[in-house]
Amino acid sequence: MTITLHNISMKFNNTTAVNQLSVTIPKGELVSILGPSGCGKSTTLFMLAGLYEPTGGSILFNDKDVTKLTPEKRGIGMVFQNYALYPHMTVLQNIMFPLKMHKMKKAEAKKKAIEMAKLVEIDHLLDRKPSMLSGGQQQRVAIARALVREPEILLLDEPLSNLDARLRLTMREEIRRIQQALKITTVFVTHDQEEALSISDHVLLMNQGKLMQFDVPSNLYDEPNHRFVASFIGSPSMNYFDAEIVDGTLKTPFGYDLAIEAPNQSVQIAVRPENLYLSTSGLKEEVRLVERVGKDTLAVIGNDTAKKRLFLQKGETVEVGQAVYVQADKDTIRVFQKTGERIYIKE
Amino acid sequence: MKTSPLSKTFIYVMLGIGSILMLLPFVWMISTSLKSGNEVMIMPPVWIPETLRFDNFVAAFEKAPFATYFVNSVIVMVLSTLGEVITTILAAYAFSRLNFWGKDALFALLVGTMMVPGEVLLVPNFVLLSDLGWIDRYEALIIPWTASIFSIFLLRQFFLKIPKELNYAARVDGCTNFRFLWSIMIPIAKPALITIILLKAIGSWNAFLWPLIVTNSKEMRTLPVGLTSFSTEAGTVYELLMAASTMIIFPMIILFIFLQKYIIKGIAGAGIKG
Repeated sequence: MTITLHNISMKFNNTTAVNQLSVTIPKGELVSILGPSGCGKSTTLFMLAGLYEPTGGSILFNDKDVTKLTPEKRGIGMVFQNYALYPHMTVLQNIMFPLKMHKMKKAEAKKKAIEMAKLVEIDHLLDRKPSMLSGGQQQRVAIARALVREPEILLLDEPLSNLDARLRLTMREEIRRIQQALKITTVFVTHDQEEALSISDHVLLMNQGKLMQFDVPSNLYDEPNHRFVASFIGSPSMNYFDAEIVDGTLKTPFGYDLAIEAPNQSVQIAVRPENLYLSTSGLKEEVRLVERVGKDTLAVIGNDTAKKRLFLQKGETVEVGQAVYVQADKDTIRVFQKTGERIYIKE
Repeated sequence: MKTSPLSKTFIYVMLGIGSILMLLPFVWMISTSLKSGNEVMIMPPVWIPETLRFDNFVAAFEKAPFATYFVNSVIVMVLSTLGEVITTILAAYAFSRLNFWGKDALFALLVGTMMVPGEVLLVPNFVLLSDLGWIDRYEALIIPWTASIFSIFLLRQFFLKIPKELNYAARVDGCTNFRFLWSIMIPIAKPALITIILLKAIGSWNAFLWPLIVTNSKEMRTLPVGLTSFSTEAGTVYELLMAASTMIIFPMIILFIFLQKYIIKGIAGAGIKG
């Protein structure tokens, strides 16, 4: 099912949690809503679910306006951060509960619930109470309960944040596997960019209630349309260099100029750490720190107010205090206005 | 933690002394109920009567219409407990889960009324019931006791500990407010509800002052009020009073034995794993 948000807004008293959000989520995709804490991502999900009614705008599932529809009439399944399993019911009763609420015959409901339990691989735990399950198992029960009515949309609110690191990795692959098996349109809220970038077809990046970029994961990383996106995505984070545009020419700190169609102004050039390299010419900086990060070596250069990071190539060594020249190729640099908007360089 | 045998002995001795002190009045009550009239006042007191006079129980039962009192007590206890449970569940749900104008102020006001001593309200309540024409009727015994602020407070706190997401999940699954309350909240709050029921049942069973004031006829009296028939102008007939008291507390003891597990759970505050 295609989900269309049209100028959706949500105000709580005087704070605007979501501001004029418009986006179309294609059918059968897994889409992550990503952003820092309090950016309105969970609020957006709750509006999709019908648990919050937006204060402005409309929500369409395919072409049907569901803005005023109650949650159970929307054909959605939802998984919550703390799983929200009913503690007094067994796993089987939990999974059967939505069917029971929709008056399905008991035998049929049981059959479907067991089917769903098999899909999420918990069919050996059906008689247990939720308190006797591990976090990962509870998660699977919650997914089974969300899917048992065969909804056309699955909504997940930070489903992995209560799990330990290793389990998180397994569960996110599980979610992807189940999503692919059912071809169900899935919206997934997370604050973890790695999670979002690894399993999503599209990522919806939000900040302060606004849509920053809706794109495929690789574009979010390589072609950020705003300085916020560039800074938020990637670790270690983006390096920034001050530069000037004078009469249609961008004067880079790396010793070369680029033709650019923009009025005269101060701008910032952003370069990813893996695209910054040591050279014989370019920008002269002092090495401040050298650290091993897994298989790579990361060098921190620059001064206190403007530190930059770059990965050393195999075989390169630098000493702390040494002066080096750094360079970045012109196809790897991204230019942003002082206000944050991207300035595109003509090819 | 491992406790040494010495401190373990000490703990058991202290607990033993405590239990004996708690049990003493009951033992005294049962012992007195089996004594003859002469034995009751003997100094030093006699713990085990010379002859066990079980006919005290028969005498006590014949002295006043205890069967009527018993039926009245049961009716009042059952209906007022039922009424209180219903009002408590609804009010606690409203105060913990619904949003309405003036919710917090209203709740503060309700809790504030707990500070008014019950004795102060005795006369105004009597006047009110008398104006309603309820004196010496079941209405007077039951209806004023079908709501308890303390129970509402207790259950509201319990409801508040139940994660909000359960409410959301239930809504997505297709529950109405009422269905959610019935199928999710009440089963989870079972320990708290049983505590409320038990405190109420005991309170109602033992209530003395209110039934004494609002009833005039023997037909409407309850058991505790019935006990006054053993206190006459010529003095109190202790052995019969104690025999009747022993019979009266019996149902409460049975209730307690069956619900013990829940009482402890409810008072200790059951933890809920989200």
